[in-house]
Amino acid sequence: MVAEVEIQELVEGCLANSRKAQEALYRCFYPFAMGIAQRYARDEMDAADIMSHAFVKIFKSIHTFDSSKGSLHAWIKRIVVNEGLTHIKSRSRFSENVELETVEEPLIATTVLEEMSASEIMELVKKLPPATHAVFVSYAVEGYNHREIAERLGISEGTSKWHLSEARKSLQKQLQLLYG
Amino acid sequence: MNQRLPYEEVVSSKLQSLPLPDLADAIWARVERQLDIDLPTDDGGGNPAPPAGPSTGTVGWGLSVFIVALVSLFFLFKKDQHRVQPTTVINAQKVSSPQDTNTNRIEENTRSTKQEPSPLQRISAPSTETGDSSVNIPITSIVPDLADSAQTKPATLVVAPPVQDSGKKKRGVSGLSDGDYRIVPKKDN
Repeated sequence: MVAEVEIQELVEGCLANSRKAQEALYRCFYPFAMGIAQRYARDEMDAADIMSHAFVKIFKSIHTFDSSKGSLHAWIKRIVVNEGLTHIKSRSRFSENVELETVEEPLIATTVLEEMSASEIMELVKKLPPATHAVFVSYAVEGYNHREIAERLGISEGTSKWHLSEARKSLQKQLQLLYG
Repeated sequence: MNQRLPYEEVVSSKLQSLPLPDLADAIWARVERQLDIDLPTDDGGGNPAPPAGPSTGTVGWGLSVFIVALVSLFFLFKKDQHRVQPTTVINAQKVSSPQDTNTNRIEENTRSTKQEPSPLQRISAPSTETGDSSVNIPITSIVPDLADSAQTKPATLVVAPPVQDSGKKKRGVSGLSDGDYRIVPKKDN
């Protein structure tokens, strides 16, 4: 784990447009950022696209990072999530025809999920439609609320809630098919 | 307020530990390429210079062609000089008044062609060092009757002592002086 002081030095190097510092910062945050990118990607190529766009954006806008307003991890996470959502949006249309006020809460046994591997769970999530996938990952994994998700996706909060509800129902059906 | 269900907590913790693909180098190469376009750097630390674009290739080609042309001219001139230098005696076949419009020409013993450009032009062609297109080789022993350019064929007049240029190799046959170059007109009886 890289110390905060070293990260600060890397940030200063990136501000000076030092390629070495940029590469060092990229490799330092590669595991963290790739973990996020994978959750929004259909496959490795998608994840690589999200990562490359995100890091170019990070280095081009590093001068806007303010350490007094938050950590570098949170700043980078926001950029990678936004790139992930942008990537999904570019591949699919986000329907605004449906709205929901209250999200359904189907019963899903956690024990089943606990026995599954991360890759198997990810495969279930990838089977969701793109918009539903994006909302589910943003809400359930990244911890964003519906207002934040709606802003990032350019949809209403009601549409975001509808997608989350659809994701939960779909996952429940898939788990029931797999495990009865 | 974000209220995650229990199973979503499990999903979240599981997906935080997804195995990572080994794409760090490949992705960095893409990022670096894009940064070289969007944020070019003068960082000398291991940042290789961008590859030569079409402009430097074109310049290199042009330079090569120019050098080849210069070398060709040089050899051409040298060849012409070899043809010219053996001419020590120029026999004028006919010398007449300027009013003679037909055959007031001087033939030389060498194998010079009739279609050759003016020896002045030939001799002056390689004189690029001085940048002066004028002749820098003194021409001697010109028959006075040839002063009228309308009456003569300048292509047949070749009088050229060796060029003694500071930076150039000595030309011509050694042992010959200016007096050796003379025109001996033939007299018709």
